[in-house]
Amino acid sequence: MTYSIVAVDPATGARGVAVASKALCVGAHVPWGRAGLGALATQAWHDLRYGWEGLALLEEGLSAASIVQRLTYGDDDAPHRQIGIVDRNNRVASYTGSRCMPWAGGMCGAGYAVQGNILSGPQVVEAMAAKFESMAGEPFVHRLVQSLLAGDEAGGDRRGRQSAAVKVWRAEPAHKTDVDTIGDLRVDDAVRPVHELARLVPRLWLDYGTPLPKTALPLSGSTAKRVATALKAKSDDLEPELIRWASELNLESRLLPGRVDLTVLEVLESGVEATLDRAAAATPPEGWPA
Amino acid sequence: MTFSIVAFEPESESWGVAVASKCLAVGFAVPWGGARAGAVATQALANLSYGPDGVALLRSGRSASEVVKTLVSADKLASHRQLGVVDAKGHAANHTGSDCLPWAGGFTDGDVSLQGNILTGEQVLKAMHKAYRASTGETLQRRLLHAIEAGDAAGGDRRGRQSAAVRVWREGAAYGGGMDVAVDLRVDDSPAPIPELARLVELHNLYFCRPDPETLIEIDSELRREITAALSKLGYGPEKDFRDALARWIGTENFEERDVPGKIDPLVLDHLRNQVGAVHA
Repeated sequence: MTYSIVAVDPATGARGVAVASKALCVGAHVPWGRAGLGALATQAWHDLRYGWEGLALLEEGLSAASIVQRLTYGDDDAPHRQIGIVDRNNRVASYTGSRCMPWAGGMCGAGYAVQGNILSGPQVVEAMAAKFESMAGEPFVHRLVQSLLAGDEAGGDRRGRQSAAVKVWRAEPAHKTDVDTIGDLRVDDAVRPVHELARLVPRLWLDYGTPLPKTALPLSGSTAKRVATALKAKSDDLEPELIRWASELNLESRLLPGRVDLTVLEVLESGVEATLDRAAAATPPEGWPA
Repeated sequence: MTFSIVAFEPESESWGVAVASKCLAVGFAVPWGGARAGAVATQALANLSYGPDGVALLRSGRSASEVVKTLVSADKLASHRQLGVVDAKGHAANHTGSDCLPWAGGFTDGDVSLQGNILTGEQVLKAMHKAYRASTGETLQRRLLHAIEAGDAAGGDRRGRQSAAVRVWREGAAYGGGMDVAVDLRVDDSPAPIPELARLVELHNLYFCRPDPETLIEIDSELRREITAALSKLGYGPEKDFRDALARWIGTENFEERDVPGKIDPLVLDHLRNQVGAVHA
């Protein structure tokens, strides 16, 4: 029915789930997590109770393996369930009930668990694990979605395709005005949902990413001229015009006082689509949501 | 940037939010809520923490207007925020900061709050309100969807369209019965997000809603022959017995919620006939 990867990003401590299924809106049911505590995927003949009880157990500080035991203990339907978990200490566990529909199974590696059921075969989860391992150091949300894509290309759900999702939680709970997720994308019903999800990833980077203060240019001299030309600015007071332009394009999160982020400059001069194309083609850019 | 409706429906004891925007994945940021607590939409220069914090306040029994007052008074950027809230008792309140980009505004009517910013004008919200009130008797998700469709038809976000979402909370409503999220559907990036959301709402009805008992069809010997033949063409049976083959197909297609032994849901039967038709087409 479903295949998923649950993992931690060693670079940032963020934890996430990527999942695909021949079911409507899989992203609404399978991925669960909390910043600083862990993440889990509950699937197969899944029980949403595993989601919120799993979170409560993560909060208690239980290990991934103990959480599997606690959830399945006393559950008559445990043989039909499948779970993947990464806990607050980055330990992982993957559980597949003995009566999940074939092919069903999972595997764990350092900081990740992959699992699936009603798959075309074990090569699906093997391809996901191999892809995830091969992308060490790359942006986490990109890595999760590419792992999912490798599973899709290795055969995926043997019944077909319908939906996909990726969700990433911060390493620590958010402060003040933000929430605990730094990436939350869904494709609820599509012919090629995992490819569609992969298409959204550079858009997430552009619209919700952070500016890079190190390489940002002061909004003066030749940079001011470039910005003024691109904006067709009517006055010398460029900053308010830049803010207005950025809010129309949802680029507010990339603004820096008195300076211009290089990605903002790129969008100004070559447009959104060209910037996205470059971001999708090149080595993944810096400045992901954080 | 965004227009939304937050509502409590007393008939079904459900709370819901529908929203559309020219931004990526609006459904992850704007709609928040819980059964017997209330619902919140946070938008404009959205203070996302208004969502979880607002729901926590609602759970503690605060009224919608208290929640709005508490959140806004603690926020230095309140003049850039927009917020709509409906509480556990079905009272509504909202806030539109004076620095929200025009046209921006909102109003409440009993158990409904409507709000939007960067809209083509106030008529967007009025059209949403009218469509919501005119659709009493339909499911809450359809009523919320109709409101968003009407707002879009009345001009919507003046920058265009990109994403839309609908969420509904009801006690014990979720798939499997263990949770309060009755509906959670999103279109994150599409040139036509609202028709796409409408398509998802109908698919959701097919997969997750229980059948109307009035419409269930008895499986008589003739229908049983037809279903057996159809299942066999799709590779289910005939070595297994009839019930087993049907249950297996229903499981594969995710129609468990519509499975009634001895009978068949007409929507499921249509799906089976279409699938066999597709195999032979």
